[in-house]
Amino acid sequence: MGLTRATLQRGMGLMELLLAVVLGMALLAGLGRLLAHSLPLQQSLVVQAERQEHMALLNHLWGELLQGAGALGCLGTADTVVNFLNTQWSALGLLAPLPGVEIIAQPTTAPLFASIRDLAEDSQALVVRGYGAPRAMLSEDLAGERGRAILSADDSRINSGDIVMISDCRQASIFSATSTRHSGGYVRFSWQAGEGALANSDHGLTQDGAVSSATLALSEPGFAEGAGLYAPTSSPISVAESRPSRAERPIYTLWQKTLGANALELITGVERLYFRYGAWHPDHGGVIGYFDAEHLPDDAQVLLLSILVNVSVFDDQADTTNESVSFSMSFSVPLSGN
Amino acid sequence: MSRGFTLLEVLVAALLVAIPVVAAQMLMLHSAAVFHGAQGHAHARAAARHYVARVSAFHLGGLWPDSSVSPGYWLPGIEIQMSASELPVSPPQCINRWCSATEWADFESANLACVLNVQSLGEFCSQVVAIPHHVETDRNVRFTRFNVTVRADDGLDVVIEWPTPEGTWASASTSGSSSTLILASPSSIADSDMHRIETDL
Repeated sequence: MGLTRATLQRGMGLMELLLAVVLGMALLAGLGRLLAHSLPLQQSLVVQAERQEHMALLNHLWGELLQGAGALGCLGTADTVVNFLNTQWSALGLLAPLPGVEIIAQPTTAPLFASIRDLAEDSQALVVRGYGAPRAMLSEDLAGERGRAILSADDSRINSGDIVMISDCRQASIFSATSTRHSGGYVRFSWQAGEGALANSDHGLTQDGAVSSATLALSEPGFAEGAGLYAPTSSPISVAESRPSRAERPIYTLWQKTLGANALELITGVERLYFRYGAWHPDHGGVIGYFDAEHLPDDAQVLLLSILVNVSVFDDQADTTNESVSFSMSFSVPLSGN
Repeated sequence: MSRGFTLLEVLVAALLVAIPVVAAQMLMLHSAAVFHGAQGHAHARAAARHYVARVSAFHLGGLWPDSSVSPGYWLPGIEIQMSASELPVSPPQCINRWCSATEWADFESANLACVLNVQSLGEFCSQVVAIPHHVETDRNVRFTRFNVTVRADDGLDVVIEWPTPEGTWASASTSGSSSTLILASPSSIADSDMHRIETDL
């Protein structure tokens, strides 16, 4: 059967074809640009959102933590705190109430961080110490080597071997509670001397080397009803390798540990922390300065902690890229925290 | 015989296809502008909060010696009017050295400029911000132009303005409440230079 003229379709002319191709290419170019523009925008959005989330988290956590830095109950000075442990003041580490905020410029060589593996070499670390809220309040005056206290909350406990600070508004003592017994919302405890580093000594020493002259206290009268029993709330903060870190592509993380608890991986991707003290001194009617850890004058009053955080940027495969973002934060430090 | 598309039909079809593409592109551009605006706001607010936190930390009650304290005042030099085009050439450096209250206020102003744009004061900002050279700072949130106004009266009000791509100026502000502070100023500063604060303490 031959083709008739009536069944033939007329094709597009060359001009029509070229025009269609050009228009199609223009549309494709527009779509391509749209897609090309949306990808970095989306990545930037994710980075910014994560940064804000990190800032909000640290603002909340560290703001609260630093408010308790150097907490000694109602005691206004650390001069009348007595250490009754066999461990020297200089070796008390996390158990020492002061300094409330301590920047560790070289955590890889600091004894406090010796147990942490794979610390980031470029990063500083921080120790925040304090004795927080009272676990219990003395319900009767201390007598002999025994005491009785009413627990502050249903879940409060003071166990045998716990390091405790007993404090009123005149003096405080750090000791190891021994032979504790809980009953009816009360805890009975004693403070027998022992041999271990964290056992009690038969005498106490202040930071200045003064020897205590009273039972578990610096001076008579000793601790009376109403004195608080506090547990240390120290937190080391550092940057070390993350759990999913690999040798070929290490991933660092911001770690925070609370005394007696497991370390918490706060923000994955944090590769560096840098701290500075904001300090004050009464000379010349009051002067202010910001000091690196190694330059802080001995008699400076630390009032501020300035923090710079560098965070890696991750790609779609959750691998770190060569890019990183940074943000600065500042927290005030309580006056008692130095 | 079927007739092919005419040029006019092709043009109309292309136009119909192009309209949603252009609309989507405009939507994308608009969302990008909104995102950058939000990013700018977040950056400015963070910078302002940072400034208020730093300034407030040194206004604690009982800090300044009794002989030189007048409770209820901000330290001198806290009120500032600053723009990116008129930054100090060499602000006082208070890193690893003591500064007087006036020098410190100038330092904090310069520090705020560094937070807004880490490249604004060159080496000064490098020292203050302490970002290592290999770290890329986020270029998207650098303000190349900005105005900062700090008013110290009942509270500490920080207003930061920056230009938007549309040619207008956006602004963000934050306030430091004086309710939790006892403010002080050295008595060597004349009363006229002080900014009275009505604290509720």
